Amino acid sequence: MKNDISLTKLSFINIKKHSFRSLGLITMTAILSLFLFGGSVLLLSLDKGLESMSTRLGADIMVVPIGYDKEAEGVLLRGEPSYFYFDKSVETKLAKVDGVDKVTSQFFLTSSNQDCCSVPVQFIGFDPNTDFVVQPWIRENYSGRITENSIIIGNDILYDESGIMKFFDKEYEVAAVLDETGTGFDTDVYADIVTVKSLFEAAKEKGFGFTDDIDFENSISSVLIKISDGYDIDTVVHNIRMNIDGVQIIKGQTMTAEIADNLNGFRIFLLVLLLLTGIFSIVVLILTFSLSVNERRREFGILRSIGSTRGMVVSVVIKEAVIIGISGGIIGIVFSSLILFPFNTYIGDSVKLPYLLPNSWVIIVVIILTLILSAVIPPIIASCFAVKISRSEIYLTMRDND
Amino acid sequence: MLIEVNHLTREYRRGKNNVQAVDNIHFTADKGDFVIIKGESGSGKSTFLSMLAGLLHPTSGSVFIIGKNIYELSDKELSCFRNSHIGYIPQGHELLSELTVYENVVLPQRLYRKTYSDINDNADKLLKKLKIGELRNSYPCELSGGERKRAAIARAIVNYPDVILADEPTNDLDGNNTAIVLEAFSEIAKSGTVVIMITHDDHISSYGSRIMTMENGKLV
Repeated sequence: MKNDISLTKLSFINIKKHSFRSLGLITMTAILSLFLFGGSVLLLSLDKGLESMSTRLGADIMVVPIGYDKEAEGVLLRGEPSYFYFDKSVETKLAKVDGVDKVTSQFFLTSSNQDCCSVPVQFIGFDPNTDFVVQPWIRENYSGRITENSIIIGNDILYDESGIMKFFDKEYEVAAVLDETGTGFDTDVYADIVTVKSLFEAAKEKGFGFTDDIDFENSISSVLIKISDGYDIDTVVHNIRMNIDGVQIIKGQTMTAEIADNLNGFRIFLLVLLLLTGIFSIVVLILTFSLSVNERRREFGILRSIGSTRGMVVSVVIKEAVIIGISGGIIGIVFSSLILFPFNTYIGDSVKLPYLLPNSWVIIVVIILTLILSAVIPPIIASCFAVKISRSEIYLTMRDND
Repeated sequence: MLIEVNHLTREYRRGKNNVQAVDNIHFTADKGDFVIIKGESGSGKSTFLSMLAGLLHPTSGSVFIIGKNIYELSDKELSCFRNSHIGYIPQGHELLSELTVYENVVLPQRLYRKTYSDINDNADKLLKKLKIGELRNSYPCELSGGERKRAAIARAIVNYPDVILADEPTNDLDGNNTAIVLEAFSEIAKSGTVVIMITHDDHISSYGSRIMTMENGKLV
């Protein structure tokens, strides 16, 4: 078949021959697709981060020493190493407060960035006998018993193949790695209270000052509370305040609500940005297609004069627009992916909100939807102008460009 | 009669006034006619020709080609009819600039023939006959005015139409090229095709079998 030609081939030839015009249209579609895909993945990542954080918090109320609420939030949300203690008797007192169903305490400790430690991390020691928060999600990744000197690490902590990590010159076995959460939980190390005691004593032996004046047996960093059925959080908080002094009360839902508020602000900003980019791209596409289709009136007239139907002429324009749309869509998604995935951690750190990429299937669905929109918007715009021109008298259409 | 035109009228609105570009024309042509319609600019020649080609709806009147009232056909039917029975050569830039000469010429064949085997690939023969065979892979911008015109003629006759309608095909051509184009039309007409050509050049009348003049929308 020598030099065969068809209306479909004509669409490809038009794109190739008018490369500057085509490149402009592809660029606009790529920008639209870049923001559409990038914005959607960003929003979904923030939603998943918040959902994962809410699940992991697990307690209705967290009680910490007075003045340490920000540090506690920093440990949980951003993985900022910190330690603070109050007397263990607070746990017993809290257990007796009206409306409190379960209590469990945790002990916070930080490692060092010196040679004695593999990495600087936040340790969270829990009591296996009373814990109702940490163990349920440890069980999702580790079904065995957590033995002495074994640790469970967050998803962002790096360790070597031996599965051994060194803290204060003592070796600890990595029993399991937790799923990613996009929060500070990913940089925490969890261990039962016996292992944490061994860490504490090792730190003391190495002469780390933060262990001075701390009586490990009688100190805890936080108490996590689950309220009884039929009580609301505010009532239990009030009861705690009436019975116990010198503590800071953090409501789990408040922490999530504050993040959700911040997330909403960020979401609105992103949506407005998406909307403005969408409007801008569509306006530019409308103007470009309008100019492009109008300057081709004579070409359409010639096609009609040799026997093309209205539908054939419109189909030439639609095919071109679909090719442009899909090309722009793919380019936009590729560029967006080159920013989103390699710089995932950096983006998560920059937004200062729980940030967790959605799973692969969700991303594939977003890619498909973005491609569909990119492939559909340009043809819709182009066909509006092409249909209008195809309805004009052919003779007048041919003369319009003269 | 191969072509029969009855009471053909086309009005334009110019400002507040109606202008009769084509005024109640009766016209017939039969196989082998080479009709040359002369007239000054604005006399309505191109409007009349475009109505014969089914490219411009008349205000009133009818155009019958091989017994079919072409303005009673749907867009699909008229387009298909135009593709098979009418070869139209427009004035000015008549070729698609993105396609080669060969692609321009074969495009009308490709519109309705679904498979390559359905196509009578006579494009190369026509190009050779019109002395532009060596230009088959050239683009319109690489051709002279006469070569472009001949390529447009090849495209118009590639489907062996019953009617060839040429809108000022010798405009801007030198004497030699004008002669080549007119001889080509004479030969096509001799094969039984009706050729209707409009011009404002008084010196080319000798080629036509019928010479007509248009004045103020009327054919005299």
